[in-house]
Amino acid sequence: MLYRYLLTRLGEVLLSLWGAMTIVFIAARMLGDPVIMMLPMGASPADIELMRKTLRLDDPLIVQYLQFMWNAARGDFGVSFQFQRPAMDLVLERLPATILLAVSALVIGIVVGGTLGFVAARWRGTILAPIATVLALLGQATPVFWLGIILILAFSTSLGWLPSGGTGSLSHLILPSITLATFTAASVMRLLRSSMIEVVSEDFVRTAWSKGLKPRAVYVWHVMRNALLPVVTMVGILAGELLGGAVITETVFAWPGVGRLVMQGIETKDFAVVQAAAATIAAIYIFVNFIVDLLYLLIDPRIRLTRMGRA
Amino acid sequence: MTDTSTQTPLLQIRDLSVRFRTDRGHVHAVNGVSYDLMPNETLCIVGESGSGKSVHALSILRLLPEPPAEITSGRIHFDGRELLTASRQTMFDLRGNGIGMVFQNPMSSLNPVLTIGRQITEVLRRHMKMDGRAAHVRAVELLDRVRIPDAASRIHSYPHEFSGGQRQRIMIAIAIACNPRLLIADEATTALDVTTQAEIIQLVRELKDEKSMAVIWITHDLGVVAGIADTVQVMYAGAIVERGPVDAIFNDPRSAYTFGLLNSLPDVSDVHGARTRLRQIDGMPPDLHALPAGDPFAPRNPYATERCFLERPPLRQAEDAEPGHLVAAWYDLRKVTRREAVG
Repeated sequence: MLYRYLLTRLGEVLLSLWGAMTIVFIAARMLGDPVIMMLPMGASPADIELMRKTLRLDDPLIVQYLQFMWNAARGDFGVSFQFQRPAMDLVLERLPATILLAVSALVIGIVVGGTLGFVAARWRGTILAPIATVLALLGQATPVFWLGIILILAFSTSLGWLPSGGTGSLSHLILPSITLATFTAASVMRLLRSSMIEVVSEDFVRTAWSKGLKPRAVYVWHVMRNALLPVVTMVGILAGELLGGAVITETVFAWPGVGRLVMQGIETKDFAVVQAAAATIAAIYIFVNFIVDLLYLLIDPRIRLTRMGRA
Repeated sequence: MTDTSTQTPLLQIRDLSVRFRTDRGHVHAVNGVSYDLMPNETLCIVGESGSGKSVHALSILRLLPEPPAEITSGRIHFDGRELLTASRQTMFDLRGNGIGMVFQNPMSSLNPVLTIGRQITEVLRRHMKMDGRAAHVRAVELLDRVRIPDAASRIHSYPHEFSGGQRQRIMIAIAIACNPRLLIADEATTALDVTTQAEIIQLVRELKDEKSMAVIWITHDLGVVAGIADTVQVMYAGAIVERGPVDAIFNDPRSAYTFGLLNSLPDVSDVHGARTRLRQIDGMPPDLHALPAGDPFAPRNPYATERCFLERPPLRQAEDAEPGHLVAAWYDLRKVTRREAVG
């Protein structure tokens, strides 16, 4: 049962990857003639023609497509003209920095947001709940670039406690991950809170109270355990987005991640880099969703049954 | 009282009133309910939706969300303790321990993401201070006792892997796990089919004798009552309208409401020798926002006297009836029904 389910899901993953790569291919062809954009202004028609030939852009579209797919399958998205190196190598070089930032932001976001959400639902009707709610609203409403700049002004420029940008040590990680975690924390808090408040009035929670369980047991094992299901879905989506590179945060803090590479690629019209990055981000996104699906199997026994039954 | 012995009641409820705050004012769900429950007694509380039967039961365990619910008056004395003034800690220790409760909807009353073993051992570890292994062993015994087949392996299953009847058995296993002195079943068989219903009732009867528990069985189905009750208590508009030994209530009802309920039962034994259309009680239940000054049932009662509309009848011993057969009525139902039979 489990193997069949996993195989089906794996097939779906491959199908999604193929779709994503096709979109990357089409999008790149729709942005205009890459040859004209790549060559400096005033290049001679002969040069343009030569470039077209070397890049094999004079082939029929279907041949180009198959060629692209074949190359993509091997991780080859061409050479970055500004760095004169394979585009995929550039992306992979930047990936660890992005993953480090995304994972720390996720961990902070889940811990802080989860705590605030639990507090707001558990102590609804006390002063703690509105405090947590206001914090979440602030977190969700604050623009990332503004928050980043304010944090730099406060902790780097004025207090001088932390570096304002770059990488190299744990202290470099603190400000960008807090900046990036703010939105995640706020989203997790709000969803967990509303989800818990919904679960509180379920029949099985009344059963838990009727058993004489203490509030902590009721809230952790009966309320939160069930309220977690939608939160896991959302965290999966957020994780996919964060791992795709946080363009704004990486730019503000000069963080050498994929997001900043994409920005550079777009600014310089370095299509190989943009394609390679887009493909990588799509692949990560699909992979994270696959992981979330597996997590669901772990936390919801009903899904274990229905999904595997379907597969 | 039904029992004239010198036994002290297990549960004593005096003048209990509960209301709910709503946008339209207060809903008076329970209005001055008083009764005693003896150890080992099975009390069936009968009434339609909104009669206050479930609300009053939930207030015994203080399980009503307060607010919007508010217990405005009364005393609830259980096993030597006063519950309405008890500390939170006392109530936590009592729930699931001294008093077990089974709810109406078995499909939604168990936590869907925890194994049933976990949901049974939880209560054992909480009250009986058992360690994991002892609780597991006991949980298997309990599942076996409520006749879940293959208990030892089924204990690792989740609620959705059981049928409705089996889930209600599991609920019962949880409720009796700590050998409570009182089991409250709130419409416990309403959601089940008739065969399953009968099995559950049989199971509760056995368990009641085994554990010497008292049982409060709340239902709107008089058919269920005959099979299980020692005492029947009929409620209407949050108050007791009639109460007495089960045979007395069925054979000699004194409240027009009880009479109406009994008449609306399909008579499968067909003692009257004729097939008749099911009779219903005309009219609607009263608006609990504003109760009338008189008997709340008077507007629907064909035998109501003028006094019924003006003054609320107290619950008192019915004339020439078994001791402990109480009724709240200004009219004498025997006279009016006899006149009907003659005329």
